[in-house]
Amino acid sequence: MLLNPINCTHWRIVGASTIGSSHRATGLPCQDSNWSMACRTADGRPVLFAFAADGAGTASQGGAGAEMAMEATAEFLYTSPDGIPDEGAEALLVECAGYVADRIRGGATAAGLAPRDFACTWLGVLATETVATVVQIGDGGVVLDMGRGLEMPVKPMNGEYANQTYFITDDDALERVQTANLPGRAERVAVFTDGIQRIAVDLATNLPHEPFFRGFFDVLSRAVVSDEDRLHDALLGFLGGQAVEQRTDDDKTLVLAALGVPDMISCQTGDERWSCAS
Amino acid sequence: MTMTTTTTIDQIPFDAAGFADNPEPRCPCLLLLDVSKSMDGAPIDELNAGLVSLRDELQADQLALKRVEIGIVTFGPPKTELPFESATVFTPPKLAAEGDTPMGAAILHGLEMVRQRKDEYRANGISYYRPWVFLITDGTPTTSDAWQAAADAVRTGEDSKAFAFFAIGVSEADMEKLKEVSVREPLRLDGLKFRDLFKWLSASLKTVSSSTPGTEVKLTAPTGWATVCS
Repeated sequence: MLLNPINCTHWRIVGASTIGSSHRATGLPCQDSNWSMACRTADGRPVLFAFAADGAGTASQGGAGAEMAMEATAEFLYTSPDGIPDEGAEALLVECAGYVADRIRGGATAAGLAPRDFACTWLGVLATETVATVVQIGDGGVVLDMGRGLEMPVKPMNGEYANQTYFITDDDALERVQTANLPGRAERVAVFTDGIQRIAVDLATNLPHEPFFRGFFDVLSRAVVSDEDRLHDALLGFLGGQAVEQRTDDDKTLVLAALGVPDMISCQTGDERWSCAS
Repeated sequence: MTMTTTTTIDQIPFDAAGFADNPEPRCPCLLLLDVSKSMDGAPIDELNAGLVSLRDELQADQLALKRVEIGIVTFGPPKTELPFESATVFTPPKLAAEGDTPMGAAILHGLEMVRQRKDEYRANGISYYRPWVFLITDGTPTTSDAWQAAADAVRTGEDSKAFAFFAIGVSEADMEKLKEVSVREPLRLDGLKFRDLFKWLSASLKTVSSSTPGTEVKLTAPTGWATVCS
């Protein structure tokens, strides 16, 4: 797939990862990472990518693993020769999961370490005008509005215990990876890691907590591309703010996208957002 | 070409309108306490004092207070002294020595309590940490006791990671028997240092109850109150 550098999509996106107070207290770095982009394919179809990864607390290189996962995801989706199928990208994203896992294994070998030292969750969404495909291994969530209200098609993948989950570096990761195809155009999208899960999802029912998302999507759907830098700062302010910090002490990532105001200025440049753990 | 109105947003009210109010994940800890006649006097007094220090230590940690749950089974006759309840309301009972040492029956009774508690968590959408079961005894199981069935249940549960089972022997406890019951190496309490034991337990529960996904908790060595029996 060759991506068209001209960005004329109507999706506005903003994403950020911030360190949690428990990591700060123990001298750990932020081990979350994210990558998102709205652009057009070579044949002119708008496409949205939004991904996140959460490095495992037990893994000495969990943060590096999360960054590698995001780099490999971008790399794979840029260069995949088969393009993005209009009927859904489940097979493509499972293939992408395999590519990401291989890249991390390669990185681990090069560093003289084991893949589990780079353990991280991996989740995200690929959306076109006609279908959105979610892929996930581990906890965190992808919430979408396909025009009928918020839904979370894949449940956060937790083990039996609160401190257990699954990682893309697990031997059986490709058997465990889950995907979901949602026909239609994704009007709103949120991708988040475990640190946000507790405050954004009603865990007894696994339903998105609508008030959490409402304010973000309202603003984002009214935004133009030139707002995105300030929205990024505002998102960082929110994630690092007191209201969030007193509810969750873990690293947190939130990537948001919404159909926004048609904005021809944004056609001048590509619109890629990188934000890595650092 | 008409210009689109670029109404840039000056003051961005970028914020959540509300947060999901999920229950805290729970960290259940079951104490299986030997209160048989041989514990009479100083041992039972120190055990009671230890439970008070457990409460005091937990009270000092806001997160542990919200997440840790304590349940107590005593034997003497095996009975639920305290069903699982939040550390916020944990009131140490005043235990009195009575009866013999039906250790196995008490273990089976306690493990059933743990199993039921997990069912309750699941039914209410509450996430939880791996339960801890702490057996503290100064004796030898009563002859007719179901300790072999209990040993099997402990082994099965440890193998499937259903719980973590720790055994602590006090004074004349039969450490060989404890080794047969517990997969983990039993510890012998130094003298009657129950308070140090419960302080360590509280600190360990704090560590576990603040851990996040992907965190395998490494416990600090039980220094100051125990010896590993080889």
